[in-house]
Amino acid sequence: MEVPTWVDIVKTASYKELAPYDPDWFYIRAASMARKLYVSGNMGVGAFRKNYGGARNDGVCRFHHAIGSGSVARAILKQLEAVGVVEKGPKGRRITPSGQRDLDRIAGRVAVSA
Amino acid sequence: MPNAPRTVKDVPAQEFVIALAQYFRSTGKVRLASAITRLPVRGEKGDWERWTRPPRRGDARRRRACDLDGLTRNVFIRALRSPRCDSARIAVACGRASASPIVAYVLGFAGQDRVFRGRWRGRAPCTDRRGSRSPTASVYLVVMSVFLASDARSVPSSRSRAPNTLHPRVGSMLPETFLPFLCVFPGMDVVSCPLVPPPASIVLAMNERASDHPSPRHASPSIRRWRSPPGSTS
Repeated sequence: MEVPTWVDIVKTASYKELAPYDPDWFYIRAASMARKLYVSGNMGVGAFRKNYGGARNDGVCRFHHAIGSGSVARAILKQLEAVGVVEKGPKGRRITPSGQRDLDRIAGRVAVSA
Repeated sequence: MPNAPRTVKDVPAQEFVIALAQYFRSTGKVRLASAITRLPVRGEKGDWERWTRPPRRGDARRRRACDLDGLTRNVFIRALRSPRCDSARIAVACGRASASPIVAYVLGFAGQDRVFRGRWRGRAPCTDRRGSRSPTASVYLVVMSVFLASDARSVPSSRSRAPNTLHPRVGSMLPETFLPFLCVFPGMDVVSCPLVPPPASIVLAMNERASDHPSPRHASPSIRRWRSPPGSTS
């Protein structure tokens, strides 16, 4: 997986006030998206934008939901597709059999280490 | 082992995500570009030659050919917007290629809580000492020092009425972390590296309150050590 050059200059949503503190946030987000695809399946950029959205702080007004960054979601999906974890399906991306195998293997390793 | 997890769903989400992220990180290659390393240095081709090309007559009329104001603003504010990297204090010295007096300006800096608001302090960077804009002006940019953005965050804002707003203050930053780094813009000639720590007058000029009203008083004699660009008459 190749991290884009812009990971250090972006926020993860337009409603965010700060960029992520974690320098490895791209990997964390990729792992989270891979897990979501494993669990739910058939998710596209729009669905991920909704998933990774949050409450926009409008000051004295009520908080409202705002969607997350589509660019980040798109880049991660491309990367996951490049490494063979996900593939394009009829309704968004879905996990590949090899990706499912890899994720199961990592899950077993987590359980053993725990 | 009847309770041994066999799938992802059997593992807590947080632990699994961390493990998978470590797996991704171990298999991938990181290509991070920080604000400092992204700036052109001698030896790089491409932008370097374009940036170091001396401004020609009429460049200002040719759109974006020698738009020093826009160039400095776009390139360096964009570089400074790096939210997680160290922020940099930058002083801009500019003057006509043929004029020896150089006026120091403060470009401003971007702390972590001012990520997307690079501020431009002082007059336009390609004005000469008298304030007139000149297409042949040379723009000198020096990265004076860096400080951790986390340090900037530790300073509460005194100007914002929002209670949780933090505001980086230049005056509170220690000036000892000076970078041996030089950046070049059109018409500029590298004299010597590394840079020496600037005198107190520069530090004073970097102070935010003092730079609210930039004037030729803030000109530093140390910047005059910079040689004029080739072809200049100074």
